Amino acid sequence: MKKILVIIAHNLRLIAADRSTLFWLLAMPIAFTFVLGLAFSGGGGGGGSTDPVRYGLTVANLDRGPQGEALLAAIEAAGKIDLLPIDGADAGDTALELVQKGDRSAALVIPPDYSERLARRERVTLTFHRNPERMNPYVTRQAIDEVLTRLRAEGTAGIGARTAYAELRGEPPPELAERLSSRASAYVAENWDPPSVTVAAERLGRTAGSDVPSMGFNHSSPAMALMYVLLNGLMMSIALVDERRERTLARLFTTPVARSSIIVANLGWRFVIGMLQMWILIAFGGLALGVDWGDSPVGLVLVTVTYVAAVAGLSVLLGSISRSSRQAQSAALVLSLTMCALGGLWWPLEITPKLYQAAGHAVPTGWAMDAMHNLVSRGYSLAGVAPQALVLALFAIGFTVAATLTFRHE
Amino acid sequence: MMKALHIAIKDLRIRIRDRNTLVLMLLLPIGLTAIIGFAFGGDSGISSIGVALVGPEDGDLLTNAAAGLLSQVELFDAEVTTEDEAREAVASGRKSAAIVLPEGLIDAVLEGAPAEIAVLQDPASGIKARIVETMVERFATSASAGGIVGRAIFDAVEAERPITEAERWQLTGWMFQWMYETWSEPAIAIEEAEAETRDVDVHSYFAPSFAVLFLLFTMLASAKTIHEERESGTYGRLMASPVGRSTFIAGKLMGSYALAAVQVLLLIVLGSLLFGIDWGSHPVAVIVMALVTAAGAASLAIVIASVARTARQTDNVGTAFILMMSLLGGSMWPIEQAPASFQNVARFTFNYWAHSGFKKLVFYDAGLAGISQEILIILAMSIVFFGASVLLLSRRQVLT
Amino acid sequence: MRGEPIIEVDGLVKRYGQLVAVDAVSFVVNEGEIFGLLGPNGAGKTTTISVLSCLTPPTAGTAKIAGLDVTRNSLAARSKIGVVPQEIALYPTLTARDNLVFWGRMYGVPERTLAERIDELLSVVQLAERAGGRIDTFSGGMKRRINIAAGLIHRPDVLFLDEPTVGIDPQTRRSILDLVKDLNASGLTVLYTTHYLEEAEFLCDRVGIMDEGKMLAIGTRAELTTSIGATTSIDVRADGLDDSIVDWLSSLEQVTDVARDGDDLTINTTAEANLLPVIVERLAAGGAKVHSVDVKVPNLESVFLHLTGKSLRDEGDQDAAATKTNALHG
Repeated sequence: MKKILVIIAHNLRLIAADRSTLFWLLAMPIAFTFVLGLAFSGGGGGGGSTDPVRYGLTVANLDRGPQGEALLAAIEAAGKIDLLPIDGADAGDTALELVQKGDRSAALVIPPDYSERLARRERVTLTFHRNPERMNPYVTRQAIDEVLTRLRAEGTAGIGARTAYAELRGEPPPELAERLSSRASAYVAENWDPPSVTVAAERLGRTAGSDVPSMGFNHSSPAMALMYVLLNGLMMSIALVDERRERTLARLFTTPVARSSIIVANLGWRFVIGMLQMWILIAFGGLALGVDWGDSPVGLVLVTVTYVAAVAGLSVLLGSISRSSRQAQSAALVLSLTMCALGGLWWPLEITPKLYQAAGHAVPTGWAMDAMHNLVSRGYSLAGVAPQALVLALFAIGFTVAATLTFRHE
Repeated sequence: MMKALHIAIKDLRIRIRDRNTLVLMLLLPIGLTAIIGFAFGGDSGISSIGVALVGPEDGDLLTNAAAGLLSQVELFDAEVTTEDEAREAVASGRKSAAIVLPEGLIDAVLEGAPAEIAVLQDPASGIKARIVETMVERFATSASAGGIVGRAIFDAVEAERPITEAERWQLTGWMFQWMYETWSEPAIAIEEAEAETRDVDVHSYFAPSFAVLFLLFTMLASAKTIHEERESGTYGRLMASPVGRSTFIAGKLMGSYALAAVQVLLLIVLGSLLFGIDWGSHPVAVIVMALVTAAGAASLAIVIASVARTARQTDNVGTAFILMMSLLGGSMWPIEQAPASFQNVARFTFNYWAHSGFKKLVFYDAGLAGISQEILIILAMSIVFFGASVLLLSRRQVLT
Repeated sequence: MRGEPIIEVDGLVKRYGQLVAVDAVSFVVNEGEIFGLLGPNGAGKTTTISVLSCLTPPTAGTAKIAGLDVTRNSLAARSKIGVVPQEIALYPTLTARDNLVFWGRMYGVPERTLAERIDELLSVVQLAERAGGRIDTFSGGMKRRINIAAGLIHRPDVLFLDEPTVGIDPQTRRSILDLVKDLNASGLTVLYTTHYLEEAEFLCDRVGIMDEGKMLAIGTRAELTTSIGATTSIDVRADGLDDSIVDWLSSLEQVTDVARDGDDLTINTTAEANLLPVIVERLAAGGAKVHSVDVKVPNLESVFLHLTGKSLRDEGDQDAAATKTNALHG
């Protein structure tokens, strides 16, 4: 037992002596968490600007009458988007071209006969050009739809009042029809806000009140911690290959230290480094980024212990079966990046197909991310993450058994 | 010149024979593109959202109608249940969201009394729960609008002459029918036209991104050999032969550049073969973009190697730098979605301009003229990087 | 000086698939001996040492260290031995002292005696003033010496040295051989593998000759040369020789063959040491004037040649062998 501790301390010292290690263990993941969190923030645990973002919408109003202008005024008045008008006879083509070249995200084209067709109560079609790679058009389109819904309600009420009158008492004379229409339209405009049927979204769990948990630091902080512990953990498989090549491992086998002790020590120092890294990143997320890690510290410990144990086991396994340090390095990169992508560390698994989600749960990362969501978002207690921890423990045992079977000194 | 060429050819042969280089060069970018395609591409994505539907026990006509309507939304995998069960299902993530309908929906529509539909959201679901919320909001807006239109009609008709109770019933019945017909055919329609006619999928976005990311890694490994040759003594041996230092650097750069060009062009070809990526109708522009990108990456990597003092340092500093730049420049996620300030920072990275060029080719079928800005900027970067590396390598005497 | 057997190898076989690396090898090393395993590269020496170091389990046969079986009593056996591998198996980024501390702890050397023991060893290997230097800043010879020190840290009963002089300069080679001699003089038993026969001749009390996995012969140099019937040849060049001297020499018991060709006399004998003064005396008494005497003693090379039909030198690097001869005798 004492010898195991000596080997663990010895390896920690070797790692600590390397200045680049600190950088890799801590500086990089912290920088990544920070940048990704900033990029996706706008809710979900501290950081990010709270100002409403206004999106630009390119508009080409070809309407010969006054209604087009009125529509644009209504859109602008809603206060969500800035209009970027284009003038000229070929404004429609210009708008299309701007979107096509990627200079603008979206454009709305109002046809020349917009007012005329509305006056004739004919169906009229606006064109919305959307740049498929941008998110902005989703927002601008929704803002336009809101305005159109109100205009449509006003129009419908106007027609409806006239038709209803006719239904009860026969066709009204033109003057009365006009009065009915404008009264009904005005009623809609006046009483539009507030709407009678509203939606109250309630986010359950402990993050109640915060907006979108899959974005922002609440997602990026646990995901990046899991990712970097995995990446660095698997990279540490190289140390085992090096020890074999330099024959220090063989020499260790000639000393009175049991094989099992040597394996335990190899798992042990990787585990210690993984845990150190994990908890420094957790502390950083909590203190600097305002991530709330849930109500169950014990649950968090259990999840991190089993996850890091699985990573340590896989690292020793990889080091045992790799023939060269370059091979171990390539394998570590391929394995860790693949597992990050599959396990939902880069994007939430909920938006992927069922088969993909199943693949994500064939690797430890998927279970670890589930457990993190249970703790951070759902506020589960220890029992709530026990199933995930159990699966992670099984991964750890499986990897460790495989590592023990393949462990060799030459 | 011939000697530099021989150095370049030797480097290229060593690299291409190394299986690990091939993994980094081709397998990883292709693998990651495939995984992303698997996650987001094709008919995948969000096809079904688990929704719990809760109605009041003795719901009115409209509430029941609403429940029926919402349960038939194609995207929803709806299950009618009690509120307690719904809460439990959503809190544990078994359902993405629950819709809880209020009792007095008909009063809200007819009288304008406030009514609230609650949408309970899975705390861990950032996207599906949000979609449910948006759909229900759309429903609520329609219900409110329908109600207000109805009340406006009553108001206008009643203003002309009071309505009897019998007339009220007659009118209500007629109105539901009429509204149903009218509302489904809006007077103003919006026709969506995606601004491109090209068939672009998620692979087309990520294949060039990952190509640029792993191109930088390959180049770093290649630039690192400057230090490796010095450390292993082969550089000293070369310097003992009639080969100048500048010849050595030129050879290294040429070797890197050739490797980069091979990698980018291979990834482009493999992208079309494996993922069916359409690189546009301007092959010359694609090749020019590929070669310019290769030059940028090669000289960027050499600059990193010349700042570092050892092979190990090159590895560490370089990998960190590349990852950071790729994150900022959008090699790892679509930065189009990031705030504008973020994108302004991104403009300082090599990755940003490389993506921008490839995106214009793939998404907008741009020609040479269309990507001239990107080409000029990357070329300028390459020249600055190359100049800086020559200066650094001689000034700091990395090579002695 | 012969003590009790401390290494006992009996019928040792090690197979790697089809390849038989060690084929039914048996030998005994006694306490206080330097025992050499001599043979070309690939003879099975390193594999034998690996089995004795408990690194490789034998396919068949037994090996015991101080009575402890290396497979069944592996941990106890390992604390009896010190292993100096062919490679510099040290942590390059740690200092010499830190390396020794680590290996000392692995052997379970008590903390209170460890520092003292390290100081002692550092002065034995003459690196006391470089104790704080990192291994990767050391020259090849310095690394070799720390490599040996690491095998001695726990005062082992037996030291295994596996080709410790491969690829190093003559001075370092000389100092390492002297070090081994000194260690042996202070009572340490040494098992030494080499493919340089001069080293085996210079260093070893007894030598086991191996080739292609088999132990061909074991014994002291004299026993080995005698066993193959090798004789010493004495070439004398002198004025005034006659056949009477040939007749006299032929009558001597130790002389196996005599031939005269003018002034040149060639005598083959089994006991050169006793004979030479007698011959010189007899020649002088007979009035012959001796110009030169050249004695060719049979060596392990002749033994190896006799046993395998091939020369050991052809296997190894001839340059290295030549420089070593200079180092040993010059």
